[in-house]
Amino acid sequence: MKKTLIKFSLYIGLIVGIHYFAAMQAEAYFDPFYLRFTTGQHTSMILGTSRAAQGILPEVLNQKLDDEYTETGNFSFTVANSPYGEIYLKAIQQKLDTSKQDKQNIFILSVDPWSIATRNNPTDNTALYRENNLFLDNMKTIGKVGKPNYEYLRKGYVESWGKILYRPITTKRRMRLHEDGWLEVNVPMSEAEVQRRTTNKINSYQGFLSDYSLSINRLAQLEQTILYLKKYGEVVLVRLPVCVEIAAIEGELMPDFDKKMCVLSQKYTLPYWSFMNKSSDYRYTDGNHLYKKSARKISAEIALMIRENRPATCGN
Amino acid sequence: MLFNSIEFLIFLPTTFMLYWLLQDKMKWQNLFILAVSYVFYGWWDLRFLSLIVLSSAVDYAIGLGLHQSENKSKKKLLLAVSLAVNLGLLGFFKYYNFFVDSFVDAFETLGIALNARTLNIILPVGISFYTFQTLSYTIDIYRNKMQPTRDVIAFFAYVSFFPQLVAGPIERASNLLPQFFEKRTISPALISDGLRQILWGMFKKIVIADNCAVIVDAVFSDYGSYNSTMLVVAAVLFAFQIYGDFSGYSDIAIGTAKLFGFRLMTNFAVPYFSRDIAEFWRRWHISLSSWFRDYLYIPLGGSRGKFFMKLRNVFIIFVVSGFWHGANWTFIAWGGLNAVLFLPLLIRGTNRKHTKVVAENRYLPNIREVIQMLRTFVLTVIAWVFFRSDSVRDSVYYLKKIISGNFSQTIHYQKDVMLLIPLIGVMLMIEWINRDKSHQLDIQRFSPVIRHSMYVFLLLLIFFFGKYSSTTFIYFQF
Repeated sequence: MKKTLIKFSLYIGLIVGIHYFAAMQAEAYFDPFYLRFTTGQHTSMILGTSRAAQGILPEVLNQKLDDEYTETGNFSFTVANSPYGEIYLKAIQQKLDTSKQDKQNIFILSVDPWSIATRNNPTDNTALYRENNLFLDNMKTIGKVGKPNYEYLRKGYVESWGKILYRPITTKRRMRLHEDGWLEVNVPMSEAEVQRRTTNKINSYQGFLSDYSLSINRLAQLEQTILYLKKYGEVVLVRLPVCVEIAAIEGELMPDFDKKMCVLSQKYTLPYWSFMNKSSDYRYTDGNHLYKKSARKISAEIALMIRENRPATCGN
Repeated sequence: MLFNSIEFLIFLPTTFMLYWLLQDKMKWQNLFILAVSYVFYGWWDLRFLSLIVLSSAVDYAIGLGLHQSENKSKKKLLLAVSLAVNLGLLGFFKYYNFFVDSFVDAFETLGIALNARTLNIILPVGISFYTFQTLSYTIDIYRNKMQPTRDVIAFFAYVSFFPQLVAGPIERASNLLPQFFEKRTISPALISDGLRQILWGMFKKIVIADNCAVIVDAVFSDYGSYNSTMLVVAAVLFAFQIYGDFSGYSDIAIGTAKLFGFRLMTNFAVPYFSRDIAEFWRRWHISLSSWFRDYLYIPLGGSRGKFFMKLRNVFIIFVVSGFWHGANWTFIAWGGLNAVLFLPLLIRGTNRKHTKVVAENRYLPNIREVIQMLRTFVLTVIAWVFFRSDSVRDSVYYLKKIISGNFSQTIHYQKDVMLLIPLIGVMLMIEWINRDKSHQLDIQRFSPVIRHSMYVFLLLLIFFFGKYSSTTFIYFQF
């Protein structure tokens, strides 16, 4: 029996050892979310879905706003994980450092019709929300631990742990998550490649049209998020640009989206800046997400607008 | 608690060590098993423990009552109470909404609108499994096939024995209960074998089933968007998903039981190497098939009597077996289709032609056997489409879309499919080599070098290709 137990212990040691080694290697290239759970709390934040995750660089904001505002981190995920709602708000509350700071805090809330909509859920039943039971809902260590975050690796990371080691090699480092939360995507940007990805994305979004509908509850939760964050700093609403075809689909999904945001802007006296009418000024990887150079450009513009305290793009 | 969760990784070694500290104290070991089984089950939902306690208490009392009673009609009444309580609970929790909905739909087709209410009922995990387990106890006592036990702890531990509580194997009282009265001594050979079987189960679940699930879920939820090639790929992968998932669970359950000195029945015996549907059903979910055979098919007359009676009995057993899986017409259709596939064998009287493992005492099958196995596999895949689809209509459309013949070259999830082909190949190869063994990683006969190389190889496959997201097992929903 002793021999069996020794052999078994050796195997357990091997298994624990190899998993520990993999966890220690978990860095920027293996997963699009991990580092957002290993970097403690943020005082200022960029919030929203994948458009904001790829489209707004904390590094640029920090450079331009360093004298007035605290350091910003990007805490945006995807439309499946972080549409506005109770779950995302709770995660934000965990991630936010609410201690008193010498400088002001800034919160950039990226908004678009998908972020306040529900999929295949016309009655807006919160029990059917896609983010239920995903990692933001299940995690308890958001903002509390450093590397490695075993809770995320267990609850959020769905692939094999071996992939932590080989994914950075097999994916040729096409995706890099920065410590500040910005997701850098390095895909081929030849015209043909971009066109192919854009066509696919447009087709997908066209298909989504019949599935998605406005969620009154999500809109209310966006208000709750604003109210909560306003207690700790300035809040701005930003609508990032997309290609004209996807913009048209969004127009069909929620024709009065801008109006809704303007109502919030007035109600809570905060700016709403829409970049939709400047969509040709930027490049996209797939029509939906800004290419990194354009992301850098728009981040600088947002920083400038914050600094100049620009009014909302709502008209009067 | 899931077998593929971190909680279980802590739970299992802890309970294992504490359990063997109680060696030579059988009653304490039984009490310990009962306690940890309730912890294991209560991890999901503490409220549903009361159902197991109720079911155990009723059958414990009825078992004693049946034994003491000489009166035939009283015995019948006691058995009826056991059936009513157990099947009543199962019927309420699992089938109430299905019957209400079907009733309303049926009246609506006649133009009569009914306003019947469905209830927001949560299905208690494993209810179909432990209900059948306790029923076998009272029925066997009623038939004078076994004596009841007076040891309440042993009986309650038998009903709730955690390795097989939530998804089987459905253990007969005559096999498992006596083991609670035998002295259990720690056996290195049994423990090694148990660990091997757990490893094999984990491989099938985490590497095969969970990787197949990614493609299967995507395709079945939106089958209208895929070409025929992809629909075929997804249907085939579902066959491996459900096999890896369910037989993987059974292997982990049986292996875990071995760690505690118990031997559970074999639940899967390389079903995809079957040469006809009848053989497939002797090798797939054996504990359920044999339960229905002994407690339903044979009492109905089995294969005796006129042809019409045989036909009726076959259809009843397949349809009921399908219905056991869930409150949906898809399962009934799946059961019915299997009965239809069984029919030619019944007519020709060849349903017991293949009772031994394929290519016995040979390394490879002959051409005829290969064709027979492929044909059987194709038939089961067609039936699985009904099992996996959301509705019977969806399954018919799914199959129609395959037949429409849009076999374009485009394969979605190409990388995932390409990864799965060698992984499934590895699984089938190991299963083939050990097809006549009690489980498919029974490699004790090989040299230590080969054995340990195999363990490391499987552990590396799990590490590099396994999905660690603690996905639940398909059969938990049944």
